[in-house]
Amino acid sequence: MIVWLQSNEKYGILGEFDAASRTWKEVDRSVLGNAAPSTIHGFFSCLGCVRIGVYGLEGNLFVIIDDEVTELAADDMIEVNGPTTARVMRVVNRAGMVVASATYSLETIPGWLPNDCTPFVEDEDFDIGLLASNISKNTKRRSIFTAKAESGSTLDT
Amino acid sequence: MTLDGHESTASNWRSYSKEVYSRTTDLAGLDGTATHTREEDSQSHTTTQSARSVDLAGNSSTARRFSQEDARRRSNLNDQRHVTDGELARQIVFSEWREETFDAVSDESGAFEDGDPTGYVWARYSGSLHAERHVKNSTNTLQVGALPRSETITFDESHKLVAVTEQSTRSTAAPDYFTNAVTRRRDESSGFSHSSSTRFSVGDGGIALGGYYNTTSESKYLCDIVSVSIDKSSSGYGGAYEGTTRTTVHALDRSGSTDKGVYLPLTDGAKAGVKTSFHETDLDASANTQGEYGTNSDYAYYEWVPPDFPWLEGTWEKTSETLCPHLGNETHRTDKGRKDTRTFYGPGVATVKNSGRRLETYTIAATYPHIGSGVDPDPQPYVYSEQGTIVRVTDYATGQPTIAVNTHTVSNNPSITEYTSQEIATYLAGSPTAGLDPIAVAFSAALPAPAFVSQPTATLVAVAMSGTIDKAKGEGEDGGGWVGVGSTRPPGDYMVVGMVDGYGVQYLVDGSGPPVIYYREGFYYVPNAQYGILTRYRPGATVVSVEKYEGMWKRWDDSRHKSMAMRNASPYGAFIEELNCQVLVFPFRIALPDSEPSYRIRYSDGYEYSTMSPGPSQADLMAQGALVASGLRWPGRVPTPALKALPALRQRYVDAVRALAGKVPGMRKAGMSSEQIARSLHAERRALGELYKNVTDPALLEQIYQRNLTKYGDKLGPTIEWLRARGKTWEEIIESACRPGGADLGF
Repeated sequence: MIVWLQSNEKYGILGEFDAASRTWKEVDRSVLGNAAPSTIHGFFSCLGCVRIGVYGLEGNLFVIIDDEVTELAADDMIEVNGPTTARVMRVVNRAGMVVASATYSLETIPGWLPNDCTPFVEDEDFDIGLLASNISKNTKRRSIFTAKAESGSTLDT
Repeated sequence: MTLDGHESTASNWRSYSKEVYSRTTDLAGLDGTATHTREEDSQSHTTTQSARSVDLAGNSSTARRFSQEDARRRSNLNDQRHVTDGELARQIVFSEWREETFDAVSDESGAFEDGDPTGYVWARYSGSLHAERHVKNSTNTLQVGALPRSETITFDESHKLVAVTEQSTRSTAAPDYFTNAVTRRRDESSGFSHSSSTRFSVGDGGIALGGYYNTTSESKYLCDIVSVSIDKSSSGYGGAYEGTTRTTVHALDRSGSTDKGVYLPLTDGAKAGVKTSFHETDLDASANTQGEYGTNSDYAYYEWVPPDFPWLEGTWEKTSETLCPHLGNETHRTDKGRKDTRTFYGPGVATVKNSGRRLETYTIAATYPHIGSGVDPDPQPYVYSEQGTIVRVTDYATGQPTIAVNTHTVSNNPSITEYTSQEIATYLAGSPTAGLDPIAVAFSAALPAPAFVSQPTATLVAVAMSGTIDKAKGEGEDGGGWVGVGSTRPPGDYMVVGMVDGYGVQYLVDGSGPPVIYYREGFYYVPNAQYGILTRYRPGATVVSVEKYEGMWKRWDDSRHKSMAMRNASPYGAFIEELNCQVLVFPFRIALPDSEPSYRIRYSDGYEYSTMSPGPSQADLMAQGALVASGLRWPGRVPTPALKALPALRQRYVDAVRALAGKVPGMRKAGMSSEQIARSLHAERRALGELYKNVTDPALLEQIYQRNLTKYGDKLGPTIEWLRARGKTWEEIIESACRPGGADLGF
C-alpha cells in the first residue's frame, strides 16, 4: 500500500511511503507533473535524523517514525512536549503506556516570521508532532483527517 | 573587581546584605505593611522550613545556610505554592518582588471605604513579547493617569517614552533613556491614603549627568543609574495610617571619583558614598490641607550598592534568551486585612534583582520525586518530602551556582528541603534522566501536557499553578486578570496562561489526572448592534444589559471587590516595569475623558465586566498609542523588546479582520452552512491580507510570500484545501479567519 504524504515544510515535496516494504521516497511535484497523486493521506517532516509522518487511511490514524508504522487505536493519543531542541512525541495508549516515541528538533524548521499576519498559520504548521497530537486528540478533526485521507485530499489548488 | 578598582568580596557583600535587609525590615515596619504582612502570612500557612544551600561544585561540606531573610523569602515562596503528586507547576512566587502594591482606595465620593483598603493589582505577562497590567483600583502610580499630580510622563510623537519626571526642573531626559525619576511625594490634597511604588531603570548608556539630583556642585558626576525606586505611602486618616515614602537610588558612578563608585544623593545634598544611609524627613504634618491627619513622614532610604556589579557583566545575554515569563503580580488582602503580593514566573529563568543588592537567577526546573535523606553534613534537620522543584540559584554574592530543592509535602505543609549536590547527583544517576542536564530535562518536562500546546489558537506562555481557584465564585472568569484565590477548589489545579491574539487565555486544568482543559477565555470584541458598542464575544451568552457611566470618575465595579473608582483619570494609562533590567513600558487605556462614558456589561450567563470605553481592546489600546516601550536598555546587553504603536493602517486591517466575526451570526441566520461560512470568510480573510499587504514592510512581505509559497504552495498562506487536509473543521476555519495574526505586535 502506497501512501502519499505532503511535506510539512515544502509544498513541492511529496513523500511516497510503501507501508509494506517500509520504504520512503521523496519526489518533487514538478517532476511528477500530471502523475502527481490526487490523494494525499497525510503529512511528514524530516527533522534531522528522524522522519515523522502522520496519515489517515480507512478511518484510522497512523504515525510513521522513520520506517516504523504505528496504528493508533481509537483512544490512543499523541503527546508532545519538550523544548524545540528536544521535542518528544509519544504515542500513548489508553493505559498510559508509550507505544512509540520519537525525539526531534525543530531548530532547522523555519518558524514564525516576525509580524507575520498571514491568516490561518498555526504552530502546528511548524511542528509535525504537534500536528499529529492535535489531530489525535480532537475526535472531530481526527475523523475529518482520516476520512479525507481515505477519499483523497487534494492539495492542488 | 569594580569599575573603579574597588574590591568587593563575598564576605563584605554578605555583611552588607544582612545590614540592608535589616534596614529594610525596619523600614517596612514603619509603614506597618510589607514585611509584617509576610511574616504573618507565613505563620498562617503553618510553614515550616529549613533552608540550606549547596553549590554545584560539590562544596557541600560547607553548606551555606540561607540567611534568616533568605529563609523568610523562601517561606513566602512556599506560602504560595500548593503542590500535589505529579504536580507540574512552574509557578514560583517571590513575595519580595512587591513594588506594585498599594493599599489606598477611595471612591468617587471621596469617602474612604470602611477604612478597609482593598488594593488589588492584576497583571499578566508573557515573556518579553507582550504584557499588560490591569489595575483595578484607584490611585496607583502604575496608572499614568493616577500618578501623583506633580509627576508627568512625556511621550514624543511616536508615542515613545521620553521622560518620567516628578518635576520638570529636576529631570533630564533623552529619547532613549531617562535620567531622572520620581522621587518621594505625598498626596497632600486629599489626605486619603495613597500608597504606590514604582521602579525605573535607566539604560542605553544610562548616563545621568550629576546623578539623581543635578545640583550644580555635583554636576560632574557621571552615573549609571541602576534603578530608582520609590515606595510611597502618605496620608493619615484619623491617624490610622502613617505615611511613608521611600526612595531608593542605585547608581553606578563611572566618574572615577573617590566615592567608591556609587553616588547616592540625599535630599540634604549629602552623599552616602559607600555606606548605607537612611534619611528621614518630617514633611510637616500641617501641610495637609485639612490638618486632621496623622503625622506624615517621608523616609528617603538610600541603599549602598556595591560597586562590583557582576550581574552587569556577561549574564544578560544568556538570561535574556531564556527569560522566565514574568507572569505578573497579584496582590490581595488576607483575611487579616494584610497585603499579600505574589509574583508569578513561568518556566525558564527568572532573574531577580533584589532591590539592587544582589541578583539571583532562579532557573525553575522540573519536579523531582524524593531523592532520599542522605547524609546531611549540616546537622540542621530537613523535612522529608515527596516532591521537589529544583531551583538553580546563582548567587552573585559568591559567584557560585547553587541548587536548592524546593520541596513540598502533599499535606499542605510546605517546606524547603535542600539537598547536597551529591544527593542530587546520586538521584539523577539512578533516574531515567541520568546523564542529562537536569535543567534541560526540566525544561523538557516543563510542558508535558499536550493539551496545553495543542490549542491551535493559543501560544503557551507559561504553566502556572493556582492552588485554589473558585470558579463557582467567578474567579478565573475574567481573562483579563489573574484568577483569585478561593477556597473551594482543591489544590492541584493548574492554570495555564496563553495568549490569543494578545489576549489572555486561562486554562484551568485538573491536576489530579491528565490535564484537561476546563476553561478558556479570550477577549474578542464584536460590535453589539443593540447597544452600539463593542462587547466581548462570549459564546453562548448574550448581552442582557449595558449600564452606562459618565463623568470624570469612572467607577469600576467589581463583583469580587469593593467599589472602586478611578481617580484623577487621564485618557491613557501605562505602567513601567523593570524586568531583568529591561525597562518595559506598557500602555493601556485606563480611563477616558469626561466626554466618553464607561459601561458595565452583563451577560445572560451571569458574566459581567466593566469597560471604560466602547470595548477598549488591546489592539485599541495599543493603537491609541498611549505610549510604547521606551527602548531602554543596558548598553550592549539586553535589547529591550521593541513594542511599537500600531500604525493606523495596520489598525484598520486588524479591525477589518476582527469585523469578520460579526458577519457570522447573520450568515447563520441566512441559513448558510458552516462550510459555506468558512469558505466565504476564508476568502474574505485572504482578500483582506492582500488588500492590506502594505501594512507590512515590503522586504518582510516578500519574505512572507516566499515562505508561504514554499510551505503552502500559495503566497497568501494556507488554502482551505490545506486546512481541510489537516483535519481542520469548518468551525475552526471560521474562527481562525477572524484572527488577525501578527502576534509580534501584541495581538
